[in-house]
Amino acid sequence: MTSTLENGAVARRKMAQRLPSKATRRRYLLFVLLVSPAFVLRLATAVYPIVQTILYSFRNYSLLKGTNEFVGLENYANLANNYGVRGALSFTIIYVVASTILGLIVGLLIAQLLNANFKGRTFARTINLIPWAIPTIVAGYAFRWLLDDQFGLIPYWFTEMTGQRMVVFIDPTYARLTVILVHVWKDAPFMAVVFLAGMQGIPLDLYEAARVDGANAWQRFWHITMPLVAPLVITMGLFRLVWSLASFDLVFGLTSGGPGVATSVLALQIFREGILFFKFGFASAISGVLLLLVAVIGLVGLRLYRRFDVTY
Amino acid sequence: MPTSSKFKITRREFLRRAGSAAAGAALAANAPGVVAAARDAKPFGVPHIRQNRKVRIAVGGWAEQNMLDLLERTDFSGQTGIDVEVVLRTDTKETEITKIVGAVQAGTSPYDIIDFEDELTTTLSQANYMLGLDDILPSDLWDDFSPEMVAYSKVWSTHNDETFRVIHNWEMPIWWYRKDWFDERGVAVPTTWEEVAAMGEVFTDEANGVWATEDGLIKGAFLNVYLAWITLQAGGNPFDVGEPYKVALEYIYDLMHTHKTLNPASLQKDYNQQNGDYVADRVAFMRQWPFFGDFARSAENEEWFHEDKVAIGLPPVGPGGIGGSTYPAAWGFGIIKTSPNLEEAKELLSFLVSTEVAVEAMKVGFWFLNARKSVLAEAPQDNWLVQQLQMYTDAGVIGVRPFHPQFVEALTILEDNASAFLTNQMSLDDTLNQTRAQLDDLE
Repeated sequence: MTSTLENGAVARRKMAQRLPSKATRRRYLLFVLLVSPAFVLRLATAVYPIVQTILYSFRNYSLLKGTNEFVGLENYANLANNYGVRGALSFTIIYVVASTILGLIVGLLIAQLLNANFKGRTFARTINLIPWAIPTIVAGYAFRWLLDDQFGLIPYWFTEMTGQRMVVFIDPTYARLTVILVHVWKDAPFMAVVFLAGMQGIPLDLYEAARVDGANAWQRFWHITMPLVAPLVITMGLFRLVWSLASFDLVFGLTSGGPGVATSVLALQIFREGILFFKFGFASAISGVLLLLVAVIGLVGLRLYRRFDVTY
Repeated sequence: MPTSSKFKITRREFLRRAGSAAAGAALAANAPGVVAAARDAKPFGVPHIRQNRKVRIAVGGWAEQNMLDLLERTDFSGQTGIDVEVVLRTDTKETEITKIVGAVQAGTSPYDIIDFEDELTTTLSQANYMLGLDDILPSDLWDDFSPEMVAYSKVWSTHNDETFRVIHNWEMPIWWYRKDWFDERGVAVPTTWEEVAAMGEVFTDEANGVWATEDGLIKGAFLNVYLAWITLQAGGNPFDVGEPYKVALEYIYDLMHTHKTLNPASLQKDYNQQNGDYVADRVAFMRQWPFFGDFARSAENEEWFHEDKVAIGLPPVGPGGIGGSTYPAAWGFGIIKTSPNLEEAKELLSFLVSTEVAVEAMKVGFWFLNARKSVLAEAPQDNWLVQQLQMYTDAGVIGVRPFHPQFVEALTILEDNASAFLTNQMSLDDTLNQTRAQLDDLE
């Protein structure tokens, strides 16, 4: 009997030793209290909508028809048959990849230019940001007028220079190119500012040493500037990819997705199916595809980012 | 424990107080009775003031002043004791539908009566968001409407034989032409499809950006209007995707690419761009809604304007015959089912659609012009819009706007496919098959 009691006391002591101390428990409690507001906020504004969207994508939820039954993968199967979604998916990939790559290149070039020493540099840096400051929907409508076949400034210049008429929006290839270029025009200045900040952090000694070693301007850019701003380029590229995937205002204002569905994007399709037709189930399925794209791009971007470790 | 300040509290005390505050907030948020009691409590010492009955009516910005003038002129508030607040609705159906659906789902409404267009009427009435009006409308109301308006209302303002809207604005695309140009060239205004097609040779000067005709055909309901207009002339409904629609698509394609009559860039233009091209002397004739008449006569076009530049003719007759040469679209009043002031809304709507007030409304502004017998009888006969409405009514060219039960969605399908065909991205057969399949999926 005594032995049993002793064994029990030992067991309790051991258990008490395994449990965290009172001070540790208080620290945990404080940690939970301090973290929980942010956690609850993200739960409500990110996790819940995403989970709900995924759940909706398995239902034929239509607000106007009043249907809301579980249909399994039917919405996803219908995506493949939907002309609008098929067209939007193909152009979304082209649009996002092309405009991001072009935006990065143009942004780097502008940054390089703005990093040079010249009179009026501050002024140039300021006006560089104007396209970025213009609301995207305004830029979309403005360019529709600028490219109007009758009164557009750009077709006018084109005709003056070549003698040919320029009607961009009735040709799917030109329309796609136009949307991509307007996007680059709009966003490259912002990238340039970010890259410029990165370039200004590069010690001048490195350039001077390279110059002494006989490196020319291109070699200095490629072997010094580029590696040192590479993390910024990767970060901005990642942001641009994700932002571009979600954007639809430029396309909405500029082409409304036409001609046909040549310039339609997934976000525009989600807007149409969800907000115009109130087919939340089908719109959620498109959102699911978009989510998958964002996740894949995000993972690739993070892997790339880890590869670049900047040391001076 | 040493303290550096008398206000310093221990961590335990902080946690206790924070916990109590959070619990209190949560309790308050979840105790509707307590909150409601607090909300309903009358402030001490403030005498209770009896509020007037009120009703809110939403109209587009262009109609706000007309509506205010009408209410003042007819003294609705004086007669009924109901205060009317005129609020603005957005001018795009997309925004409006989002606003209304959200509110109705929450059991309320941003306003009681709405002045709304065909697309919204179809969508909202089928979603059961609108109040049926048959019980509150006088039985002889429809006797005052022209047969075309009655036929139109049966298609576009009713669902399951219940009326959800009474129309007050009823207008149709007009066939505008440059009489000065036609006179100069000694040619007659085209009255048939073939004559229209032949005008490319007469007027189009592609190098200088001049076209026989142009339209606003950008996707987003613009292209659909033209598709419906031409298909109606071909004798059908585009949503049936039958032979008339096929004929219509071929005809539009030929107008653009074979005869060079219709500017292909129309596919990326809206009505503002189309109007701009017309008043810049780049277009010989065009289909356009009546608002172009106001635009052409506006101060900004004062130097350009001449009656001969905005002559109005009868629309061309297609294979479908004269009866479907054009179609009207309409705006009208309806009551949102979840309206907070339902009884007042019924009173105001009955008042607005009555014969006497309909005539007064037309006198206030042409936004309220329509083919009601009483309205046309009192309308000023020297006005160009009244003359046009009378001319089209007398000639019997007005058909019923092609309808689809899921109009907004169906028109998007038509536009996506037709736009692809007209820009050589898809063959005609593929276009028709795909359109048909997509529309079948809507059922």
